[in-house]
Amino acid sequence: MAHMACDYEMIAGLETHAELSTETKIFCSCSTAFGGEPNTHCCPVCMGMPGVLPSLNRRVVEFAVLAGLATNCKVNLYSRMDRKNYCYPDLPKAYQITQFDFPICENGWIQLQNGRKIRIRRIHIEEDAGKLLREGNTIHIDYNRCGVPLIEIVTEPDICSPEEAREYVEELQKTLRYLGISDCRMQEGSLRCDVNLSMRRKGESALGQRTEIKNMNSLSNMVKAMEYEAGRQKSLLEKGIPVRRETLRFEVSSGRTEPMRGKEELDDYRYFPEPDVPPILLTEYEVETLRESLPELPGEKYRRYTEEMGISEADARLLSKYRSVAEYFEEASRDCKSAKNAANWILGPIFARIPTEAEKENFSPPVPAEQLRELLLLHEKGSVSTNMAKRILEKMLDTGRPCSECISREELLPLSADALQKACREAIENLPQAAEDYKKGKTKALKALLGAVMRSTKGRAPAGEAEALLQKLLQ
Amino acid sequence: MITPEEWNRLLVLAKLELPEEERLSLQADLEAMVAFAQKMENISLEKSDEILLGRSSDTLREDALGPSLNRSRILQNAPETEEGFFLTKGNF
Amino acid sequence: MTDFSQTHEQESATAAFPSHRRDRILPLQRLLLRKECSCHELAEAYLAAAESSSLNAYVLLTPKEAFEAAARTDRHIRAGEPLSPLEGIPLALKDNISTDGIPTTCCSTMLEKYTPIYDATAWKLLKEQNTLLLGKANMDEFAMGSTCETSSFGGALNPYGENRVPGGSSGGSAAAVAAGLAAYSLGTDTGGSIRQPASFCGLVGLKPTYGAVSRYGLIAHASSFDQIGPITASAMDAAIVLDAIAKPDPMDPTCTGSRNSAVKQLGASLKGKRIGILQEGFQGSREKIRETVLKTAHTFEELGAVVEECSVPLLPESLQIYYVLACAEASSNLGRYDGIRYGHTPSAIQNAEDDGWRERILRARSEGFGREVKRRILLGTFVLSAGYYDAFYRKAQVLRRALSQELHAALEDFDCLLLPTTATAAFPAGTLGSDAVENFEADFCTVAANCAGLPALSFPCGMTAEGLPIGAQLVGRPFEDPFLLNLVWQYEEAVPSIPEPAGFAEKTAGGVVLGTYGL
Repeated sequence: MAHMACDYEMIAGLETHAELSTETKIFCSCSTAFGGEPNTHCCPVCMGMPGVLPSLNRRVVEFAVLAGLATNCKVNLYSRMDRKNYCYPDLPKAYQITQFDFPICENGWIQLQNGRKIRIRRIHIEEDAGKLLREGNTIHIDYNRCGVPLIEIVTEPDICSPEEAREYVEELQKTLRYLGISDCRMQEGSLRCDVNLSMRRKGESALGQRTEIKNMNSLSNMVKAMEYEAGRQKSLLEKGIPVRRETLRFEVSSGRTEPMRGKEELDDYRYFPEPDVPPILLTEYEVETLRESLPELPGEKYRRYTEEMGISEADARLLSKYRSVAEYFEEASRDCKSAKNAANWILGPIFARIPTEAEKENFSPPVPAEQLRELLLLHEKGSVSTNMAKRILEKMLDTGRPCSECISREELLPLSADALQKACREAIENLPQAAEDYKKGKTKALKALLGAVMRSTKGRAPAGEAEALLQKLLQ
Repeated sequence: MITPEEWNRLLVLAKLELPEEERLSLQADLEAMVAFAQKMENISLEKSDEILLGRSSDTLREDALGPSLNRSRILQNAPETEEGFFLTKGNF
Repeated sequence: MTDFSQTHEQESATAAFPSHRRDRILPLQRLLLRKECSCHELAEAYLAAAESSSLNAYVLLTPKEAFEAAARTDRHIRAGEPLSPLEGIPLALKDNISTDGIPTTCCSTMLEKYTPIYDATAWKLLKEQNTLLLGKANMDEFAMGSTCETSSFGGALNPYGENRVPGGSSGGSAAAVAAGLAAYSLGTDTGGSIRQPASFCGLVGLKPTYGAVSRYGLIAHASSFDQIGPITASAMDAAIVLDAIAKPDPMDPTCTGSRNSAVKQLGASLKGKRIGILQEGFQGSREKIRETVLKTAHTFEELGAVVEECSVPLLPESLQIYYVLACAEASSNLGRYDGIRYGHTPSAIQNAEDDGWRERILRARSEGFGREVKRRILLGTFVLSAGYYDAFYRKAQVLRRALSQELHAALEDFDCLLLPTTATAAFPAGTLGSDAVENFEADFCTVAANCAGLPALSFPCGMTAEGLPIGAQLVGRPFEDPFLLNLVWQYEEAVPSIPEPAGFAEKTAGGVVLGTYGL
């Protein structure tokens, strides 16, 4: 992490575009599916052919409202679409239908771990453009992506460091994925972040001149870009050279930001209300219905896990990161006196089987939640010991067979006092050296004896009792 | 009244080329518009933003897949295509 | 007092066709059902007349589609099946209405080679009725103009008078119907482009309520002003067409369709209905026009209506409001014409280094668009540009709403308003640009209805001394198009119709002289 000299501070804001995972595009019934042969998910409407008209997808409005509700925004009952006019080969109508004057959501926030709130100025709906592929001097144009619905989330300039930016984006991803409205994959382009960044001397209230960094395709690149740009601006300002307002891209190979060519910085977008789309009028009832349909969000889950269920902060963060994992955890730990074992067993043995983030996001339980719960309850009751339970769990994971089939009858029964006595005596007999060491004062030697007891009873011996009994026998 | 710079900017935004003499003939139209704007000077712009004729549609479109068009039809009016793509020339 | 009586007093025995009625649709269907001629023969007759006409009303004839529709119609007749209301009836379709597989050019070089891959909804509804498409009608380029002379295929001529314009932008549609080269037509109206040519050509032209007819497939001029509507020889014909095309359309969210059948309302009593003579609408009208339009008020009174004067003070501002807003929307709607997916391919350039997409788009548009189109794009770009948007566009919107409120207020007091359609009759061809004042006035009476989204109907009410038709205009409440049509239908009952033009095409189908039926 670049170390800022104490006299300058960073002011940054993020504009994030998220592709909404609706079935169809924003203004037509073409598929939004990713990939596909070029120009095979197109129709006259998204191609901007003469005479066509846009027909707004209901789901897009619903998803935008959910995004706003989940980020504490005010949902505007009146919002409308506007035209943003500019010329570029990926924009068939030579205007983008977006929301300028009356966005659908405003004035929300996302809270970071340190308690700081990054304020969200607005969330609005708009359509995506097509894709350009440059090959030498020729440009190939694919309009499949044209018309895919986007929400744009704009923050206030509340972000003070690249790490905060990263955390903000991760929280946003978490939230939008929880809602199921976007898969937020930066590498695939379903999440795009543009950063507006300026530097100023600490203590000053006026904002410095900002630059805009676009098209960073990963969080780590975004962090690097911000670090570089902050340093670049700082050194300019220290020399008394004013920062120029420009649009930059991040050059991965050099680690530097470079001016972006080809975008008309001083384009006049001539925004005006879109006459072809009636205004979006929502009722309080509709908004409340959507609010009621909100799932419990990650922040709330985190709080509940840590404050009510006694889960550690680190564990709670991991468990609440993906909704399917969280719901699995909740289902598995239902009716248990303590959820800690559920947490451990999920984060330990189960997560070991699904090492990638993608697998965790699309969590497909290797052991059904009810099965895990069954085992957890048996363990809580004392019918199986901890080690036994772990072994059973591994067996369930290996074979996919239900809990009951993975435990044999004898394993389930509690060890009788006689059997325990016998096991302890045998352990002492078989490990005379350890017994001697213990009698001489080496308390650690008890562990070896205990280990032997556990092995011979196949883990059924309750560890505490076995220890006590061994100590007694060795006196 | 409209300066050559403003005129050129308009041509760039409108993506049009026009000979100089057209600029002069368009002046008259622009002057009429400016006179009209002056008449409107005293109009207040608060609450001006509702669209006049935009009737609120009770039914938004359901999110259901429609039939997709054959790509050859999509491409058929284009002067230049290649392997399913539309073509133009680079300009960067 | 001019004699309005018909030239064909000598009538056939079929007295079912009253001498003053200019209906065409029902009489044509009767002819077909009575098997006096076949639909194929009908198509032949109309196509032959269109081909030999020098009016340039059509830019494309569609004999293949016409004969296919005719064949289907003849099959239905032979099988004794009932016909759809517009089945087998010859249609001229304005060339800015998209027809799948049939070139649609907006009479612009830009779209000379463009063939749509989908049907406009309004056309599709007629196609489903198996109507007989004769061809695409001439128009001002991209519907921008009032004379049809900005067409890149040359202007059309008015069948009335010598070398007169038919009006615009639906000039070809009006010329075709007036000259008997089509039985009915569809035009489009943004600031008067149905009503003004209808007025110049002695026809009935209806601009429906905004939102009554789907705009899907209408190549856009100004989105919040455009409507598709009928240009016909009579109110009954216009009512039949409106009923066919005024349907809600999921592809056009601004379209809710019509609420009631227009045909069913014909004949409803006019007793006590209030008609307001819109004072400001008569400003600048020639004396003869004023006089003739006011005379229609007497007829309406005789039919039971109450006629009084009314005022809409903002009416004189409507033209400037229209130009600011319509040009703004048009400049945005026409941005898509860049030659990449469709449209004009620019000519080769000298310097290959300059040949990037920006230059190509610039050349395609500069070569593809005519002068009037470029002019309006630039005006529209101007009023939307930074620094001017508030002063021009937004204020014009406020004024538009104020004008609309004044009209609505007048329509609370009156069931409809009466004013001329145009201040003059058809002017000579080629005078475009030389008399700016007349061109300006051409739109004056019509744009207010587009500003307010109200239905407006032009109907012929007399002739000038030079033998040119005069049009009167009725403006009504939203979705009361049927009421306006009923007014004119009853007017037609009461008043002898104007004569057909001297050059009205003589057509013989299967031995039947169509002229004896006024067809």
